[in-house]
Amino acid sequence: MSLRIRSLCRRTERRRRLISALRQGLICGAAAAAAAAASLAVARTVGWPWSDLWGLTLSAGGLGFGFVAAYAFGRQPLGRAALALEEHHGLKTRLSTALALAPAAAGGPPDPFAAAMIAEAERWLDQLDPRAVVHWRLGRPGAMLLASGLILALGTSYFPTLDVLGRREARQRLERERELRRQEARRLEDLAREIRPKLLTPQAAVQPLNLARELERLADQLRSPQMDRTDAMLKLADLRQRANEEREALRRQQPDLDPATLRDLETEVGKALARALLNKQFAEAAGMARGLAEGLRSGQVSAEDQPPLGRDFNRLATALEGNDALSRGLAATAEDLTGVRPQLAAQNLETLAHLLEGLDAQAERARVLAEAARALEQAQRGLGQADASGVDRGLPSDQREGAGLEGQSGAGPLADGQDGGQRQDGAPTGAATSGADQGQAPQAGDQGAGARGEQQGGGWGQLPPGGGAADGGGQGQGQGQGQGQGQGQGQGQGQGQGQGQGQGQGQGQGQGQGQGQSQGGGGQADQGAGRDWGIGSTNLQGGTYQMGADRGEQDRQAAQERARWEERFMRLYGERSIRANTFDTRVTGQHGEGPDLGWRNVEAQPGRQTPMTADTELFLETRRREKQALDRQDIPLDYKDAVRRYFDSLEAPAP
Amino acid sequence: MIASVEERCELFRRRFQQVFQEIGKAIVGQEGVIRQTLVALLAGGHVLLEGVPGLGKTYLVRCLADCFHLKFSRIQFTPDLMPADIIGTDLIMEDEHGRKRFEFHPGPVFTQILLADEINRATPKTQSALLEAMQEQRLTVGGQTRPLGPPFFVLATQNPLEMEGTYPLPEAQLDRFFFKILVPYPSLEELTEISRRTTGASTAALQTTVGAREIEEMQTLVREVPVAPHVERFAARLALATHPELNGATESVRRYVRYGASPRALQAMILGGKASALLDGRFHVAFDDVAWAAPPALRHRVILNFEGEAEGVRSDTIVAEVVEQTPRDAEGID
Repeated sequence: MSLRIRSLCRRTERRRRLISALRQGLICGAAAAAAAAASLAVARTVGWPWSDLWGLTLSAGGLGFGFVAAYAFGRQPLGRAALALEEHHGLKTRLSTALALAPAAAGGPPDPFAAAMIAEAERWLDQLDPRAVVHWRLGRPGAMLLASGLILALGTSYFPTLDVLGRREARQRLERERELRRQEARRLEDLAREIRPKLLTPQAAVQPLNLARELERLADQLRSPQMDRTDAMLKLADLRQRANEEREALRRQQPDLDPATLRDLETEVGKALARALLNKQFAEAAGMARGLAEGLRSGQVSAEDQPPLGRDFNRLATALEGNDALSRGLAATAEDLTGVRPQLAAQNLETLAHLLEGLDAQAERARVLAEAARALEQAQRGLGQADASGVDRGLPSDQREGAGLEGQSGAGPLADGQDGGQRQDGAPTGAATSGADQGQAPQAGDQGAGARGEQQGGGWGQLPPGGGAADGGGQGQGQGQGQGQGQGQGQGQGQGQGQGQGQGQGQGQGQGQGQGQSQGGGGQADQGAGRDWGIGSTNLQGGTYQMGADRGEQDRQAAQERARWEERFMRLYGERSIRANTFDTRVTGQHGEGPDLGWRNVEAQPGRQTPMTADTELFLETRRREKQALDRQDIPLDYKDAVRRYFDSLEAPAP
Repeated sequence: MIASVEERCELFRRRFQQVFQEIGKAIVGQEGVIRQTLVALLAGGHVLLEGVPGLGKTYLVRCLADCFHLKFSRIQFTPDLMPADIIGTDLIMEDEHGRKRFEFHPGPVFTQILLADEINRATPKTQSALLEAMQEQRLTVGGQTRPLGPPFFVLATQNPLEMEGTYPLPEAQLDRFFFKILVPYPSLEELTEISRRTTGASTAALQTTVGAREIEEMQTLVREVPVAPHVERFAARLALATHPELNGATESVRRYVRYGASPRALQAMILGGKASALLDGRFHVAFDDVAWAAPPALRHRVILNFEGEAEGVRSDTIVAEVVEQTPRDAEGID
């Protein structure tokens, strides 16, 4: 009897449920989008590699889930649909009453009133439209939630997803770099685990460089987003340099025996010991010393045999005068053997054996350090694979190229002697970001400075167009061409060796301060201070040519190694700048994670939209202050480096 | 031949309209009062009319009696009115043989339409004399039960202003009134029309249109109207919502009401709704019918507490809030 009414009410209920499910889905989607946006924001802050697709997926999933759940579980009684229809069409409870009375009318005795009532209700059906009773209204809370979710999602998720702001590539690059850093950190940890037992031997318990610990610290820092990649590369370069330095120092401590010494030896024991020392077989030599000591104690070595042995030991001591401890040990033993004091000689031989075992451990340590240095170089190259265009460092796009060129130009004088010629290429922005760099005129391209080549220095100053140059002392190898005018002030210090050649023209005024150390000219050491403060003008033409002859292979390699390290430093740090303000700013320097080491004032750059100053200056200023602090102390010259390394190795106090 | 439901309902409406129009000849305006009064009569209930003097309460009842062709009695309630004055008494009568015997002399209550004018001026004892008559439609006098009517309607009036020397009706008495109808003051146009009709030379002559049998038929038809379960639940919720101690009570009920409506209120709302539905040409009771019947059915059954009385809260306000806030749901219909 009321099938049509029931059908109509069912259609109405389905439609209402559909709309309600859509509404719930929208609200769930908005809530999910808001949650996704918030989680993405957190992920970006923390550094989790969450893709933007996460936000889209979660939003769509929330919408779909809300819709399906609301439609599946949101079924309402038909009576409510009937009431909605009645309310909208003014039917005065006709449909719901008909639905309620229909079972009684169908099952029981015929109720004339119920039949009349249902028939009267059915006459209205043609005028009813289920679509009219469905409301699309979200309601105030739903609308507010939807709007906030959309705003959040658009603002933090979808805009970046659509790359409206052009940040996607930068973020992807950042994620790649993070992954790269994680890989390198793992490699460093593996390397630390590998070299730790080799380096921590009983004979080398006290080490100037705890390389394994340094590597683990660096691995931790690499995983932290706070550490810049350039810092890591610099640290790697530093560690590699220190490893090489220590390896070189260890190598120098090895006894260097002349093969001609063998001819003068009388005894077989002496010859065998000399051969072992000649072949750097210190463990074998130590065994011989112990065997001889045992023979002396047991009397197997007769009194007649001891004087020839003493003479041989004396010859060996004379031949190994470069190694004080070993030479002294051999000499003391020789004296006791010559005087036929077997017990004392045996004691000396035991001490000598200890010394030789220590030398063996040093050789092993040098070998491990060489391997570690190679591994560090590989790690540095691995980190360098990331794009160094400056995008990751948040530089404005219009400054990236200039900044990169600035880094190249900064590296020029140290590595290749290139200077102003390249610097001019990056002049429009490079000048803006460099401020004062290397104490030279960034636009000048001064030939003289280029020809001077190798120098290291931190400079500061304002460099309006003009001519000027300030250079540090030293010798270099390189070529530079440039033309320009500049004026500036600068400070510089340098150390190096090599050849320099340059051509150029320039005019300018400059102030410069520098210290330098140079060697050359037939291997004669020339050490002294370079230019001090000065104001002057240059008008250089032609080239400067200097050729230096090295005093020895060691010094040359050490200088080149240092030059390469500084080149890397300059390349890394030249492109990174500290944003300054239009007012004077004081910036502080920090070595690694250690305490503040110095500070400097960055002068205001009025009239510039984004005044920048290279943090190269700051680092070099800090280095300069370190050096000045060391110079002020009464420390022997040979120990200054050791003292510096010692203080560098100190860990910063825990915050 | 048995007429169909539609025909019976149509006849019901036609008769109602005849009575309504006849009364309208004498009474100016007050359509709501007339409709509520007629609905109460057709539902078999008694009516308490409340209004200031001069609004035509008594005249309305007299017009009803004229239209319905029923026996009509009027009792002017006064403080010295005794129950026997209402229900009658046994008198010593002497027959033709000279033998004396008690013979019951019925009072004015033995009628079909009883006008209890200014009922609150009689003592409670006298007022209570009507209790059995109104509820049971019969009276027990001298050990003998005597039926009243049918039909039997009590239409009482009371004046809300002159409270000096009055005896407010007890709750039990009030509960027996189907509706309590408030007679409003006429509007400007209605007053003008009253003046024109009552100060001229001619007076309205009402025709008798409906007799006792027709009224009984109409009352039967009203009771046949079906009520859907969800509508009945709505009416029950309304009654329950007037009880401050129950969950469905509104805030004002909890604060101002001492005692809520009795089950007679539910009956009044349902029966009034049925009659209202028939008058609207429907065969079922709608939410609106119940809501329409709720104020006259509930206003005298909602007993205000001291705070409500002190703050001058009107029970009509509370009832309107209850009707507004009670949900109209269709649960259970699927």
